[in-house]
Amino acid sequence: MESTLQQIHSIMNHQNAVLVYSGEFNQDTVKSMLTYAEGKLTATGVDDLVKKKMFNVMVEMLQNITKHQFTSEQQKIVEPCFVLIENEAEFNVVTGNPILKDKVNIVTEKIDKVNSLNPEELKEYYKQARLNSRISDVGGAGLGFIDMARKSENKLDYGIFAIDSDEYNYFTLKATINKIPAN
Amino acid sequence: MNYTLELQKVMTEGHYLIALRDNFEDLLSKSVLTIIERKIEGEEIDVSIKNKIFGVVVECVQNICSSEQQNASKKDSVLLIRRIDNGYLVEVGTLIHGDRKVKLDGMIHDFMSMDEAAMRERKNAILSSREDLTLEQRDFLALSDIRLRSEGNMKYRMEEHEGNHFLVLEITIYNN
Repeated sequence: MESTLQQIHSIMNHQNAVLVYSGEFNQDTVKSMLTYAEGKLTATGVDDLVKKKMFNVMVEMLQNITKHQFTSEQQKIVEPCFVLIENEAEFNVVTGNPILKDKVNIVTEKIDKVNSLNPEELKEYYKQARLNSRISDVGGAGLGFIDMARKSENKLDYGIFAIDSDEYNYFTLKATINKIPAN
Repeated sequence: MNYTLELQKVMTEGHYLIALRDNFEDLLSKSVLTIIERKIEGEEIDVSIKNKIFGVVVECVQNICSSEQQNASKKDSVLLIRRIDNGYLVEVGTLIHGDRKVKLDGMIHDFMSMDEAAMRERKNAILSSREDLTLEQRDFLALSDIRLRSEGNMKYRMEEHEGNHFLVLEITIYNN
């Protein structure tokens, strides 16, 4: 029988994950993840532009997870999770957190919309979304997702998984940052 | 991306605080130690326990995991920290090349059977030597340090994992 260490190591190996954190997210956690990523990027020798992109995307995703880690009743359903993956040509920043089943469509529609746009359209959409967010519901247009897609210069990937809850699913989000930036 | 949920489940069920997999070479080991330090700082435990955990992790990262590095691009070590009933368990696994496995296995076996006085005596002899330290001597010093910090609560085993040999150390730091 596999030990837990083997189990975790095996999944990390197959996914090329270098860091896994599961638990409560707060400012200190976010700071330490960013410090770790900084060291990781320096050790990898990627250029400053990639570092900046990676930082921006991580900040956005970590802020998101910090904000949405608990349900409205402050009750933990399943803990949020953060995974950093290093592949040969890219880094992946992956987050997971519970999501209300009746919010799934709203969120996935926003991501699908963002993914359907080219960089120019995305820029325009971002301007519109910012304007709308000032006069209506802040972040309602999915500003965070637009920002992640713009900064990572890649499509966002997501998954919705069933968990042991009537009300909640588990939402995973993946952003990809190329090690060699596109010109 | 089902692996995220899978990892989350294994981590939560096992009360793991963090999992890191890398080669822990010099530049990265600083970041590894920083993230661990912050993580431990957040735990509501006595500062002496925090220091013990951190001291053990430093030895693991800087000596146990680095002793086998032949190819810095390989991520051949894994470090996990978990909460247990009355303390913390640091689990470290590092890839061991086939020809060294038997030698290291024998060395650690002998080390574990030594009493503390004999271990200290050997440690002092190594430290007072003016020669450059061999790999085995460095391993001995690291293991001695871990054993002292954990007050003897250290176990080891060799695992076969995906065709590779892994040296696994389990170090328990009790809360009192």
